[in-house]
Amino acid sequence: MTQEKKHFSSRLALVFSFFLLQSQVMSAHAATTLTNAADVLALPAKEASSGIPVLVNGVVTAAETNWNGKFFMQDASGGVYVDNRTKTQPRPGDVVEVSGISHPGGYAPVITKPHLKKLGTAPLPEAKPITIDRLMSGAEDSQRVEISGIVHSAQLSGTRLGIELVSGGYRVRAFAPIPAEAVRQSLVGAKVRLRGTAAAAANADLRHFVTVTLFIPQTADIIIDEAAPTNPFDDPIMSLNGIAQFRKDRSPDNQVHVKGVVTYQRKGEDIFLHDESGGLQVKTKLAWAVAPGDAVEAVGFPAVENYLPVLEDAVFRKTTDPRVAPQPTNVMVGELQDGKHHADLITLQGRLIDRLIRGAGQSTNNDGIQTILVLQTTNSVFVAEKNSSEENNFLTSIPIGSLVEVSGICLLESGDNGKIKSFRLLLPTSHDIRIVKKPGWLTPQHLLVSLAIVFAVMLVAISWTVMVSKKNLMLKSLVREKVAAQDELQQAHDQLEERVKERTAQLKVEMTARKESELQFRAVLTERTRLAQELHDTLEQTLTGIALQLDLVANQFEKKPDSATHHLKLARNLMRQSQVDLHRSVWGLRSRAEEHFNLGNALLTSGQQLTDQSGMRIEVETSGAADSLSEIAEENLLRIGQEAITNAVKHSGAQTVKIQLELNPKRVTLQIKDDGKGFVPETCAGPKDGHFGLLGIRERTERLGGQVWIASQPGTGTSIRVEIPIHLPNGDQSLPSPAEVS
Amino acid sequence: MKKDFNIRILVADDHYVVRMGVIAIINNEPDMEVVAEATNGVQAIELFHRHKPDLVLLDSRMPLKGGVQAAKEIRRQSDSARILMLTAFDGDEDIHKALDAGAQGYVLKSSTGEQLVPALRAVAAGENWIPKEVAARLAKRKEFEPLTPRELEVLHELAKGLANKQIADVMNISQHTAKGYLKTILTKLHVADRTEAVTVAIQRGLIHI
Repeated sequence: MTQEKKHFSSRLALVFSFFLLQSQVMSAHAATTLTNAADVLALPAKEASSGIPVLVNGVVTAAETNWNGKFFMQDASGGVYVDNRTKTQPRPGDVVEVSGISHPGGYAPVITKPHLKKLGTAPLPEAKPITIDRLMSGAEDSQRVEISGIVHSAQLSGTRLGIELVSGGYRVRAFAPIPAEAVRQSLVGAKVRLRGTAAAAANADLRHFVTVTLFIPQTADIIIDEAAPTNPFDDPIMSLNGIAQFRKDRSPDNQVHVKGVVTYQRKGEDIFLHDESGGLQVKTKLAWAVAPGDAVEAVGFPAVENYLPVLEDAVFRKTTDPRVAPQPTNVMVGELQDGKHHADLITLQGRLIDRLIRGAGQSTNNDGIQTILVLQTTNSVFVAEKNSSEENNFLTSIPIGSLVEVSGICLLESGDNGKIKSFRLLLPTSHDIRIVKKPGWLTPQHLLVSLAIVFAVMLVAISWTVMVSKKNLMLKSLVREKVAAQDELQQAHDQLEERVKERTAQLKVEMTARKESELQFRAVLTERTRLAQELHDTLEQTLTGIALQLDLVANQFEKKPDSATHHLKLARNLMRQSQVDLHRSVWGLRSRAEEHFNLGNALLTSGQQLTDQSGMRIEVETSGAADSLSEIAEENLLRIGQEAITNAVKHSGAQTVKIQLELNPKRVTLQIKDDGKGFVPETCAGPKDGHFGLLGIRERTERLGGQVWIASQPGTGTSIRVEIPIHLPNGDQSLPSPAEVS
Repeated sequence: MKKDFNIRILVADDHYVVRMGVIAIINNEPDMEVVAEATNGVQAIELFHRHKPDLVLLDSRMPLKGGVQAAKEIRRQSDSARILMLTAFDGDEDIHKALDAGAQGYVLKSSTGEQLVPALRAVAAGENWIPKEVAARLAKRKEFEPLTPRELEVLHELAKGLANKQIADVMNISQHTAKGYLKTILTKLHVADRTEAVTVAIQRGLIHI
């Protein structure tokens, strides 16, 4: 009631202020003065807005103390609203003369800018009895009327009594002065007549009627025709389910008495009760708190709201019954669809498919936050609402997709055929919701995330594939390149091999040439060495000897002619020797040029040459290998052999000369033996006598570090044996070391 | 027949004809006499100790021990010993070695006629006998950078007619190193090839055949 009045007042204020605005614009207008209220009301809005002068006389029918001077007045023709701003607040019953101008007002035309003149007082004019539906049509705006109906509620509202009058399905609000307590107590449930001025509330912009409030100016205007029945709390208790059931004496005007356990309270709005028969919404403006489980009695007017039973305008009180915690009933959705369990505390399971959170501004009934869970059962969708002063963490934390069990007051919504269109649950507390099962993995969010992941994976996979194929392409081209490179390499290799072959062949030729040159070098060197040594050992010494002899000859030529002759003879012999030596050296030079020099063969050849003319026989016997013999040794042995043969040819007169050459790794033995006449070595002509043959043999042998034995006796032939050690296995005898020389 | 104030001479030469000629020449001089004759270096040293001659005439090249080596040993044992080298070798190295060994005179066999007796007399008198052709030879030596012992070794192997590889094998060095030595030797001897190198080395007396 309070709420509705507030609403009304604000609406009225809006209307009034609008009047004011308009009137200022129209003030200059002049026309025929209207002299009764009905004429003013009869003005079409357009004309009324032109500010037609009004001068009326009438009785004030309604002037609430908080209206700041504004009032309703009525003359014989009818009532009209006066937008009085003079602060002179007339009282109902005052007779006033009002002069002002017309104004279209918010709904019905009004008088504005009035000049008031109180003429006196008078009884209020007769109220016109009208039906409540006529009143509620808005047609009787500003008129003093009388309506009748059942008082459903009579509550104090400031200095006034707010009355809710119900009749013919209408509910009219009326404000009256506070009557006597007894009267007031007897009002609820009584059949009354109310007289007052109908004040329409309107949507001023549209000039649309909204509702009518009745302002009762005096307590006498409340007439009780039929008193209320006895205290309804004394009536027998009716089951909650029973109030909408048929009763023979059932009347909408009669209150019923019910009792039940509180399941939920919306303070100042309603409480929900439960008994064995079911649940009931009990609308009440009583705001005192009851707790769920409290047992209460209530009386109220049974009504049907949206095709469902409700107890209206109820009052309730606690009983002495012990408190019993309400147990929600487990129900099937099908039962609800059959219309059962309306306003009862039930438990339902559903899957949470959405959640809405509404701020305080959006909630019409409650401060704070309304959390709305949208739940799905097998074949329907319902919501569960929870009002709380602040955001409920638990409710907001329930994952979407969870299977939850909710317990709350079931509110069905029925069609006119009684078919249940939908239902919702009011959650008394947040404990009334329980998560049965967390959402399966496949919640929409998860689905999105999974899709995102799958997409990402696919993206990665695709990029990877692309990358791999690119890499493959690259690898392929690399392999191709490599193969090509390999082919090239192979070609290069083949070429190289060919070149190597060519080069090898070339080198072979070169090496052969080099080898030949080396051989040549060696041959040249060897020959040079041999010749140098030979000349040094023979010719050079002999020539030195000759020179020395000739020096002597030169010195002694005059003083000692005999001695000089002797030396001259020696010199001559030496020269002859030199000739032989030279010849042999040159011969040796030639023989050396042959590649395969063989000492045995050389001895035989030169022996045959030497004995050629003498008829002497030469025999050469060789044993052992001559490989290790140095060239110098060979040379000297050859010379020794030649010398010995020469001696034999010259002096022995032998038939045969036997030459034995014995070679072994350590020494070489050369023996020249003849079968000639022999000689006595001691008396034999020597070098002093100009015979140098044996001397040469001795000297050569000595130079080779060897020994010589000469055995001869007259008649037995001569034997010359030469033994030469082979010092150095590498044949180094030809070139003595520097130490040996120096 | 003994002569007073004789120059007592030891003659060492392995060639009889030379020895015979030299002895005849010496004995022909009134103030000289041959006190002993040797046919090799070892014998020469032995006879020097036995006869203490005033002068030793040494052939530079003899069997068993050469004249240079014998001169060195004789000089080591008797620093007053007078030694005259009589040799067929006119290489600067031969001359250098002989003088280095302590010989005071050097006579080439090719110039015995005019030089032998004056040389004997001069050396016996405590003078040096370096004829001008010998001095010229010696001077020439300065033109050449001396060979290291290792290079001489290579030169010896080379003179045997060995190739680089054989030289390397004999000397236990790498073929590359042997080649290097050869190159140095050619440079030092102022020659173009190995044959020439051996020839020059023999002529100069760096090596002997």
